[in-house]
Amino acid sequence: MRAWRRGSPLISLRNLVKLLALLEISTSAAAAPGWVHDAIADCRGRVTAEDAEWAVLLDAHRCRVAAGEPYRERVRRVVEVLRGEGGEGATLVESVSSNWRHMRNLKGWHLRPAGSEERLDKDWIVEFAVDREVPMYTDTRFLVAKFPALEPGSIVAFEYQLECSGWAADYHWFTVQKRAPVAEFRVELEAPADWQVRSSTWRAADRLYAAADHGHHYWVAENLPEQPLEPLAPPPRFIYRELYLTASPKSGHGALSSWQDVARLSAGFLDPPAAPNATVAAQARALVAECATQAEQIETLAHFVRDKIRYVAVEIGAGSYTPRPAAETLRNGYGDCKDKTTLLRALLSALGIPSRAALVSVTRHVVETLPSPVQFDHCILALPDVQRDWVYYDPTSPATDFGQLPAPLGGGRVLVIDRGETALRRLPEPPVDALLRRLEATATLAADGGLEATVCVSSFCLLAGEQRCAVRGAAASVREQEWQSRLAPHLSAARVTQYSLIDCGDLLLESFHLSVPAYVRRSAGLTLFHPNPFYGAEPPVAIGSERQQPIWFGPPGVEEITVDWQLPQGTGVEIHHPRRSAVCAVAELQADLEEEQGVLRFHSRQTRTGRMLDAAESSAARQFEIERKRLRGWSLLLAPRSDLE
Amino acid sequence: MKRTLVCLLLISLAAARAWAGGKLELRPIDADDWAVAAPADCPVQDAVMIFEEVTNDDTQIHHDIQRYTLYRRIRILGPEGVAQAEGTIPQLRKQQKLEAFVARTTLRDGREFKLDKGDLRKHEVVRSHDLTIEEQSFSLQGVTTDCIIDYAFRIRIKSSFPVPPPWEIQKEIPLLRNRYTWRLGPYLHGFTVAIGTKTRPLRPNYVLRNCADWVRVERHPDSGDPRELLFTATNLPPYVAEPFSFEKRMVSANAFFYYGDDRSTHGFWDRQAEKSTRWIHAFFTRDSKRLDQVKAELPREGSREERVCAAYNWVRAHIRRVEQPKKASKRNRSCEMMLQRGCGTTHERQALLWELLRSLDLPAHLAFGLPRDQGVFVRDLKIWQFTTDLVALERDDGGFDFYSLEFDSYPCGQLPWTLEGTTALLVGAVKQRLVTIPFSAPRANTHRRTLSVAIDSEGHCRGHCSDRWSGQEYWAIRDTLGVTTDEEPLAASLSNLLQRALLADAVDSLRIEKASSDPPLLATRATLDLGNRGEELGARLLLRPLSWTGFREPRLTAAHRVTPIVFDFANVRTEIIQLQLPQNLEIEALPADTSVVNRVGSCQMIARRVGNAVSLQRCLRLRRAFWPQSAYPDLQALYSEFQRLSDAPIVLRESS
Repeated sequence: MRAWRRGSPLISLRNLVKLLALLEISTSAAAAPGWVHDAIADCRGRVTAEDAEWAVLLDAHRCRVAAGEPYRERVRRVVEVLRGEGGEGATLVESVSSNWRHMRNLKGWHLRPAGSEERLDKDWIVEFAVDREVPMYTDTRFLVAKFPALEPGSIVAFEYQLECSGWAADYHWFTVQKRAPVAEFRVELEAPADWQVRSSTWRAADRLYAAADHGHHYWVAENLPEQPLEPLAPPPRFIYRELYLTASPKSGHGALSSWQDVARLSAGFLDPPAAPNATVAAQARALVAECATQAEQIETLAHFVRDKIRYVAVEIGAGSYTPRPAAETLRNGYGDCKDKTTLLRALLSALGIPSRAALVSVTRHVVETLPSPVQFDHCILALPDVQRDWVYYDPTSPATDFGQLPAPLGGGRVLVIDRGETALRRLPEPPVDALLRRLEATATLAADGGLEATVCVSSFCLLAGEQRCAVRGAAASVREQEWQSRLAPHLSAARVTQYSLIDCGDLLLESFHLSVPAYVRRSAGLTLFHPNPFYGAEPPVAIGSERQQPIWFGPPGVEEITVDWQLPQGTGVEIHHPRRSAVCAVAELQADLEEEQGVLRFHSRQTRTGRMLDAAESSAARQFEIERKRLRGWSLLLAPRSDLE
Repeated sequence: MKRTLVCLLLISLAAARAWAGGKLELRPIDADDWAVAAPADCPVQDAVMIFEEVTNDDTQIHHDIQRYTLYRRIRILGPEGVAQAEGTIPQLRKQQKLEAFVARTTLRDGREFKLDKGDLRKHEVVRSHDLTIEEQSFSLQGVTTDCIIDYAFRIRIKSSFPVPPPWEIQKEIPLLRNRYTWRLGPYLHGFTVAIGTKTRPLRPNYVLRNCADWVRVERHPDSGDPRELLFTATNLPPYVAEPFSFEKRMVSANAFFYYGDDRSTHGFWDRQAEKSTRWIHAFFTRDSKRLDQVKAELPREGSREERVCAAYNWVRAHIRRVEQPKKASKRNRSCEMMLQRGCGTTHERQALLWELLRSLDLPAHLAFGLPRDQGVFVRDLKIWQFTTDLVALERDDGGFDFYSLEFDSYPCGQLPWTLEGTTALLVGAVKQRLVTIPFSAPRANTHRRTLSVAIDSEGHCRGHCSDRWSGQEYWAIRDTLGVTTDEEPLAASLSNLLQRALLADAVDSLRIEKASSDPPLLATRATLDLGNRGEELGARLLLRPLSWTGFREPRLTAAHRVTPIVFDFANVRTEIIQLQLPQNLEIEALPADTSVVNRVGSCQMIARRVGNAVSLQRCLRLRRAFWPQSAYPDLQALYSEFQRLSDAPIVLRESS
């Protein structure tokens, strides 16, 4: 600028050249690069989609790992908008962190159907903190980039580099396909020759082609058709196709070749904070002062940590993997899963009771063949028992007592952080009867067709804990309203009153009075009514004959309904089918009707194992749903006893 | 987006936590505080906010400094209340600075756990290239299910013109005492602002919303010493969200504060309109040959509607919409420039439409609106609130028709339902400055579903399903499906949607018979297999055909209603079921015809027997989209009847 003011023609000319060069660069940068056009030419139209809002034309990851360097990955992604604005497919969402996961050189292009192009503007990029329901403070954010005014036929392309350090550099997962069709998915990993690269997949083994050549490893999938949204589908993580990779030196520093290595590594940062100091020891002694046995002591301490230490996760910096010292958690009165487990271990340790931390995952699959601490996202307590096995307890779960595990953890993989542990173990699955909910009602059908019932809902064991958490802090009027809403879909104008709650530890009793003004249906002199006013939780659905995905009837549980009917004086019912039942490999349903001494009793029991049924067995599931539909519509004809006889 | 983020920040700042003054100190707790309990009928029992004191201090505004202080005391009474011990203080980096923070947990036995500024955690929550919002969070220590927590903080805001954060009066827990103090800047003592050619003094203004019964103005702007305004509120119930309502910020008790001139609301909106007029004059000042050419191209003959559509479609086809001006698309300084570039902002395109309509001798006015999903217009709030550009065309009867180019897929003359019933600001010489955008009539928004099915002696149903969506129902179904104009994906998506709604075993060969957005109409016909729908009842077969159509209507289960009821739009929904029975079955019983008619609408059902066939028709009509709380029982009666009818049975028996 000074040169301009001085009026030096030579420097002015130089500046002009620079300016022109800059202009040239910016002009060329505005146009989408060749790889975008190549992807469009090669992949567009290769996959068809009936229902999808977008199709992935190219999803290419070029990764590089090397000793002493952070993990680097270049991502190129091209998406075609098929409907609307392309939904989430046309939006780039990446998690970034100030500490361990950085994104660099983000570029994006929008190729309009009419032919014009625009480049991603910095105004269209925003980073948001991760928003969670539980109190959680973290430095991880979501970077979101989205072009405005996308339309069907638009092509959106993004290119960026990721750089990960720490553990995040050791284990990687790639979503090969969510639901939208994918024309080409590609991962290329460059690793030093003396490194070990291992991979595993979820629902993608038969779709991925893998190859390796002089330190370069490739995984390619092509032409993946859309995965449609089907009823009774399991949660998305069971549907999405994924690829998992680890790369680490075969030996020496940083090698994690076995779960024993992972356990040793984890013990290094999980064990030291669990050492009790004088305050913790005094607290432990005070808490168990009145306990007669060691079992009582353990239970008392476990419930103290569960109830008195509130869940607050501060995952900033090292706080994302290192627990706070037990004394600090005790003073704070809050902590996350690892803080609570560490405090419980310290309290137990102060009484001479040995325990270990154990790592599990609640959100992802734990791949047994790829040892890495990054696979876990939750920490629980493991206590050795006499058979040299382990007893587990999750002090973070407010709903479970000592000796129980939250149902979602049941059957999952666990790594006990003990130097003697060489492999993953499996967490015990809760018996289905531990998830029993029983609804019992004494119902009176008035002559005018109205229903008055006293209802008692018993939740046992794990469900008692869950229900206790659900109802706490809410006034009776709120609970009445909730029951009213729950019953509303099938009981028009139902009124719930006189709600009361009795807590008996592993049994929670809720009772209320239910009145429905016009329960029976009259149709030209015939009076009809449903013997079961409560139905099940979910309405039945239609399962198509060409099923692609596994069938899941929901989490495990047992639901029993018993209704004792007092019918209007001088009336009765004709029972043509006293029993209805349906069975498939993962669920069972049985309902009975009987009349005894003027009381009509309806009883049903529905059991779900929580497991999935393979798509090939869809006909059994379809039959099960048809029976469930019949049971929901089960009606009885109410008539004068004289007519019935 | 930036403006939205700043608004969010201000709202969350108000929702966060103070008490201004010199030193920030927590006051001692007395026996009355420990005696506090939630009222027995209160839906929230585990925590009560004993007091909240907010001070907005503008006395240093001549040094570009504004201070916001908040002090809260909360009695925790149960496990759910413990969540109150978490707090966040959002702040804009550079413009806002946390000056002081103190917090304390006090237990029954007198033990105290204190926090200060050093215990806060700082991290970024939003970052864009020119805006960073940070958050300082805290977790109070030693919190139990029977304790009292206090926290207070003060933020210094760097600002040349003070914008007091809104006051969120109502909380999600019951609140006993709330106090807002507004220490005024030196504006009342001679500070003036230039308005046109005149200068006028700025005055403190406030608007209280949804809280007339709770809030008292202790010191009023017109009182003797107007250096400070004081508002108090007592015994506020917790805010409880209700279905079919506006979002929280629109229906909970809150207040806005701002400096404005002392003229009336009416005068304020007049001035806003004048500003727009000045902008329009500047935009069209220079002669534009291109504009003249465009005007010459437009037809001068034809009906009013045809001429409007010609102008509307010309702008839409020739002027591409661009986002707010940036480097790549600088704001057009004149109409000529816009026509030359072929692109313009929504406001510029709308102005061009206005000019073209005027050139066609149509009584057009530039107008502004606020869709109801973005906010509710408050007439007394003398702040610009509108987000949508419109053109209003005066009708002969004195009413107005509205047009907007902002919604790309909507043809001329149609607006999204979110604008129906909202207030628009009209620019230019009009009798009324603020007018209501009319609601569409129920009969204009219809969905009719016809099931023609034949049932066999086992109860298996097969047949056809015809649907017809019109008006806003058409836009709603398009929105549900996320489609634009493509017919093929529409057919596939509709087929899936129908299968899910009807719980059908199969929906095949769905055909789009008509799909147009002008007029908005979608008609389809599909073959379907409903599976076995008969329920055996001894020798009888029971059918509930009205449960097959898959119409989902609101379930209003709450006994009482606090907030107004808001639906998307008024409409008429009709289900027609034609059942062809097998020869071996005859009808034993049909449900009786029913009709519920009240001030909110009607629900009618007619059942007819025609030979060996049955025809059922249920029609639900909602007269308006908005209803006050007092209409809740009528709405309940209407929808309850609708749901009851879904179970209406037809009984068949073997032919005699």
